[in-house]
Amino acid sequence: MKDLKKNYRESFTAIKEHKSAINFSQQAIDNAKQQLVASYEQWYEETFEDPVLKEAPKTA
Amino acid sequence: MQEWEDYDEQNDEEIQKAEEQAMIAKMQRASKQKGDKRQKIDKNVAFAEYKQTEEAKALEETIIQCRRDLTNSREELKRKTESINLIKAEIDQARNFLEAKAAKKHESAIHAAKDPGFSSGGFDDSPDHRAEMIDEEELAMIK
Repeated sequence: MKDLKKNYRESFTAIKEHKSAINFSQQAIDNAKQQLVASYEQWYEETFEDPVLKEAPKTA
Repeated sequence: MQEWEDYDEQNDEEIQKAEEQAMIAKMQRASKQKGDKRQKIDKNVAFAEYKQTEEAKALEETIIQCRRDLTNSREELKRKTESINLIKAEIDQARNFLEAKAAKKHESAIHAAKDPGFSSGGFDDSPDHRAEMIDEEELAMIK
């Protein structure tokens, strides 16, 4: 019984650690995705011209 | 009286010239950059193009690595959860056994209390004088 309880406590600690690792990985993925999107938006603005800034066509 | 160094006006002009040149170069760069800009295209197509850049490749690699770590952690968590559930089942089984034993003892004690007295050998067999016995099976479970 004592051994079982010891094993249970050890497994419980290990599970908590794995849950933390999962949260950390999920957070890292979310951060990297946000960074990718932000970086892409910046690249898009730098690479392609904004039609609003184009000169308006002259009217006769 | 304090002596002042000769003020070199030429130096001042050189600095001004350098600043002007730097500003012109900056303007030329900005103008060139503006000229390099392409017509806007579909964002999905542009994203496919962007993914070919070094920065995007590095970020994608980070995401892939994190996903791998996440998958491994989830698999390990699943294994540990199965293991802890087995341990819990064993603990419950042992607890049930001990509780059943305790209930049986209690029942015996009540039964003996209803019929107190001395044994045939003349020993006091009343419940107060009876030592609590733990059998081997129970001892193994407690251990």
